[in-house]
Amino acid sequence: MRFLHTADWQLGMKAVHVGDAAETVRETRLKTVEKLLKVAKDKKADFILVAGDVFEDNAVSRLLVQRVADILSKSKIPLYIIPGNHDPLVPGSVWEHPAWEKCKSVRLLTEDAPVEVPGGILYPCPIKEKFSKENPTAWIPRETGEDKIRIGLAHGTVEGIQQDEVAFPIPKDAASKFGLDYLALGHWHSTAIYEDKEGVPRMAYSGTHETTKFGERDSGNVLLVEIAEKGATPVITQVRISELFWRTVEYEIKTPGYLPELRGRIEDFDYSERILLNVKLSGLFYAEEVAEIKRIEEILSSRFLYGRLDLSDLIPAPEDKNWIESLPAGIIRETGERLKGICESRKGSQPSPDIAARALMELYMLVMGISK
Amino acid sequence: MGPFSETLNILHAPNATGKSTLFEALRRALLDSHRVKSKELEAVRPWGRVLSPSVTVEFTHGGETYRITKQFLDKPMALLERKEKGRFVRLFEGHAADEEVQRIFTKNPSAKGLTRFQNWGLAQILWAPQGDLSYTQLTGDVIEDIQSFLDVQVTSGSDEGIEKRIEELYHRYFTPGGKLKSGKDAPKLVSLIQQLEGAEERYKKAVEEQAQYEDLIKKVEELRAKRSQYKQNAEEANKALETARLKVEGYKKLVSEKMQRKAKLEALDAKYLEMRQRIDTFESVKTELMEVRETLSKYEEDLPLREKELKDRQQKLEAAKEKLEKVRDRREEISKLHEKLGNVQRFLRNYEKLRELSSKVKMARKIQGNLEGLKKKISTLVAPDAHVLKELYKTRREYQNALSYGGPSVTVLDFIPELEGAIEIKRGTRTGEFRVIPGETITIKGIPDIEVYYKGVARIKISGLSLSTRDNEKKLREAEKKIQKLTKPFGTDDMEVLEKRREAFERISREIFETETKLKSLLEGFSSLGAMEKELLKAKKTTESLLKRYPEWSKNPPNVEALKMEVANFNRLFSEELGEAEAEWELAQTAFSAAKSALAGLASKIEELNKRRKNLEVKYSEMVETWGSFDNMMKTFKKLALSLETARSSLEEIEERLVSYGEDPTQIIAKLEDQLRLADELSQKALEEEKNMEGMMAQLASMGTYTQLAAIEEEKAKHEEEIRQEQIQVDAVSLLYETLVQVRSETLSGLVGPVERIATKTLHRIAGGKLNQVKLGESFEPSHIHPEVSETPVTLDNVSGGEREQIYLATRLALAEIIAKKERQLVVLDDVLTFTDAGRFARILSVLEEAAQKLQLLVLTCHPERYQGLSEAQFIDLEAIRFSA
Repeated sequence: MRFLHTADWQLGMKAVHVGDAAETVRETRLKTVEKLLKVAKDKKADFILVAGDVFEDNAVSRLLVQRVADILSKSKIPLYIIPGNHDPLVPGSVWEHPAWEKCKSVRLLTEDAPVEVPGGILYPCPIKEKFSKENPTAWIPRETGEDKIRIGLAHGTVEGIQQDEVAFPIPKDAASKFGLDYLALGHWHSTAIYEDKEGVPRMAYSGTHETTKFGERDSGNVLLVEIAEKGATPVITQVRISELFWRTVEYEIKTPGYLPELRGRIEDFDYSERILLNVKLSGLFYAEEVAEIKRIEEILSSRFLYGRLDLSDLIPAPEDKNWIESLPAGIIRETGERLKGICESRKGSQPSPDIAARALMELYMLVMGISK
Repeated sequence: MGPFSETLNILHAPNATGKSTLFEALRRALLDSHRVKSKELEAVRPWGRVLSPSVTVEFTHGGETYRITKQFLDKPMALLERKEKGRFVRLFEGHAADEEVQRIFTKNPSAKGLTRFQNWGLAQILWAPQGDLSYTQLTGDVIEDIQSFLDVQVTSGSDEGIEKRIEELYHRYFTPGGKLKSGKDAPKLVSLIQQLEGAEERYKKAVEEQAQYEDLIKKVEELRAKRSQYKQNAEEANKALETARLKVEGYKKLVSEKMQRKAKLEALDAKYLEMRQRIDTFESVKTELMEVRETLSKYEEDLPLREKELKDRQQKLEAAKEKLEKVRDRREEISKLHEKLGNVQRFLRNYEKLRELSSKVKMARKIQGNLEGLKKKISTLVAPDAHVLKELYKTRREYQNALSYGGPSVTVLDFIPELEGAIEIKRGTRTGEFRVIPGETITIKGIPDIEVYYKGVARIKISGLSLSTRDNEKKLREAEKKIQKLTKPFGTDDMEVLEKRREAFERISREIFETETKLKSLLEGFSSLGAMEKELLKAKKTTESLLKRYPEWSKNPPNVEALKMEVANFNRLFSEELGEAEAEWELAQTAFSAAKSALAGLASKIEELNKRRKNLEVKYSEMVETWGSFDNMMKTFKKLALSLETARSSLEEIEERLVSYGEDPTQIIAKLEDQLRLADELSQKALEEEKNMEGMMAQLASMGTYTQLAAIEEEKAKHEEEIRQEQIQVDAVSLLYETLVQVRSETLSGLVGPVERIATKTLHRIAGGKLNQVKLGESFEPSHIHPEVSETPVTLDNVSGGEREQIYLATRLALAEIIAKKERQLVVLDDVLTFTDAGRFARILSVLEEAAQKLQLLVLTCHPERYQGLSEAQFIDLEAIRFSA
């Protein structure tokens, strides 16, 4: 038995902090689903398991539902899908859309009942509400005595994951407890594989197929699972399919020279049109490198899918005399000195040091003739 | 005219002799373009003549002598020459000449005309036009010149450009008032905020729609659950209905059987009751007849006993009546006792009255006798009354007066008897008989004669001399006569005797009054003593009458209290006996009435019972005749009772079977049918509602509320980020600009200080310390003064016109002094200081003299006499020059 395990497509999700790139981020998630189907075909998967949260919400546009159904209907490989907590099986859910009736490749699993799949039996655990403290796998019968591979498909939180209020809790030993050869999980966006007591991997989160935000660890994968026979150790292969790269650069500048170096690095990025880059700089800022800021901003906005440069924690380097000495003596220099004094004041004082830093930079650029 | 003194020049002339024209000529020559065309310049052209105004000024600068010649309006020209080796050499012409002269005099040549004060350059300070020392803000070039003279580097040329760019940058975002710009010039931040506000509105709506969608999901779920429950209820009701219907079949059969048995039982019961009623009637009549007969027999036996009882009662009643009469007869004894008691009380009252009246009459008679004696006594007493005595005393005083006024001489005889006896004075001031006691001298006066007869001893006659006049003597005689007349009724003219008589009369009168009062008091209640005596007599008669009736009272007076007690005892005994007798009589009377009534009642009852007996006997005969004998009837009745019992048991048996059904199954069916109908209705209603909700949900789902919400949230976040960035930029520009303004302000205020100090010092010299301190604005214009008496500076609007022009003069001179540090400057004052009083004007002259050491002063005035104090000044009479020309 060979199948592709995926989950948490979160189609139609909002991407609130990436500005104009939000629509691209959404579209890409859809395209990656197409890519996923191709991977399944390429890997000769018998079927695809989708462990919930295909959609971000039941109230997504019905056009999107239709588009997803259209994409999935092209698949020759059957997809077994359970509703997740983001798109639970409730009245008016996306699953009531008529598009699914003609989508023969999709088998929407709405009941806690075993289903025959190529080479085994699937025990689906569909989600029917947004939140519950019930274990969705609790219904799975332990051992039926049949000689078929037993696979579980569930959406929830494996016990042990830190959460304020655990939704849909799933025991850590759920797979071995219910005699499952493999339990395909959804809900957490990072790929995670759980081994049983014997060290056999029998339970896994595939993670989302496309990273959803900055700082999300080990996402953008699908799992290719191969199980030779009932009781055999599943062979799990992590396949990266994510199209977008969410990168964060955080750096504290202590000496001159970092900004040119950073500029050089980002200039050398491949596939920058697929990268969302969040640069957050802190520390010291040198007058001679003011022009680099402009250059970095230009590169970020022109080459990258999304780029953000946060300089709010940068202060003009106190030892950098150029900030003042470059200014003409008299009123202008005095103005510069005062602004620099504010920059070096305590954070949170008024006027704000970061505003003063920006003002000083403006003054410096005006004097030096650096256009914005 | 000229040459002018290098220090102080007073150009004077009356009005309309060309002072202002001279000022204008100098101004145009040294500060203006020769090609200027203005109304002011047209005014300089001589009236009615087509002449072009022209001017030539020679001046020294930097050790060189220059000459500028200009012609205006028609054929304008300008020529600047410099004296070299004693002759003027052409230096510049036309516009170049204008510029060079302006550069020398104003530092900053301006191509613009002089109509505007701002184009005057340094002349803004150094030249004061006619009557006006004031100026507003100085222009930037002049300020810079002053700053340069003050040796302070405020801004360089490049600084100015940077400052300008900062200002431009600032004004890209802010209005001159410091507010964020709005409208078409508004910065991006404003439009971003507006876009965000729009997005916020849409966001609220999208959130509401999403919440509505979520809410609908819950409602539909609830409705589905409800509908499922209703369906289950309906199924249960259906099952129960089927069971109930089977039950009803059996139940209905039993009910029908019950009805039949019940009807049979009721028919038997009716017969039984009828028979029972006949038997009861039979027995009732029979029993009643027997009772009537028994009662009648008993009553007839009682009748003689009742008659005897009546007779006894009548006898007892008569005896009681007799006893009562006897008791009542004793009432006369009570009357007698009461009469006696009344007589005793009357006797005792009369006895007391008699005793009292007797005493009073006795006393009254005695007082009456005394009174009569007193009255008799007073009737014999001849005494003068008070009026006569008063008249007598008056006459005697007249007599004495007549004597003292030289009347006849008074002869005095002291008669000293040795034996007791009586003398009679025949003539003298007092006459009459007088008792004489041995040893007691009697002084006898005569006017003038005295005649005394001492019976048995001697008749003494003494004659005196009369020296009175005739009139006085007449008065004397008249008084004497009047005395005699007044005393004649009393037989003596001795006043002492008369006084005593008078006193005796009054005393007896008082006694009479007192006695009469006493008598009146004693006779109180009676009109007179006679009336009292009459009453006494009447009392005596009453007493006698009572004693005649009760002779024993003459020896032993009756005891009224004992008699009262006797009467009371008698009354009490009588009342008791009477009550007792009356009670006995009433009792006998009642008993008699009762016996009489009982006898009558018994007779009546016997009569009535006889009637009833006859009726019952008739009724019984009729019943036997109709229903047969009583025994036969009883046999039929027993059979009927057995049949009835059997029918009742049969009915009870079927009722027990019905009870086992519990509630009426037909009622249960109705209830179940109601439940079923209700469940169907509710289910239908829930379904309709569900469909309705689903419709609404489908509509919202088709809108893709989440997708909309996501798009708006993204838009909002994008705007917020852009606003954040823009806000940082705007705040940074604002901070940069504000810091710059603050630094510039602080720097400039450092420059203004020295000028303020010089101007203040000059002002103190002119006006004293009252105005205290001159405060200048950033453009070196006087803005405030800070008087000693005020805590805060005040504007120039608050000072007088004279003081205001003095403040401006002081400031102009201060600035001119600073400007003249490098080179002596020309200061022109055209007819200024018109509001300044003579005192301060004199002090201003000293100031001008001092200023002239550094400046060349040119003062145009029509009052040269005011400047006569300036000994060093050069006075130039324009009018004289004009005439000489």
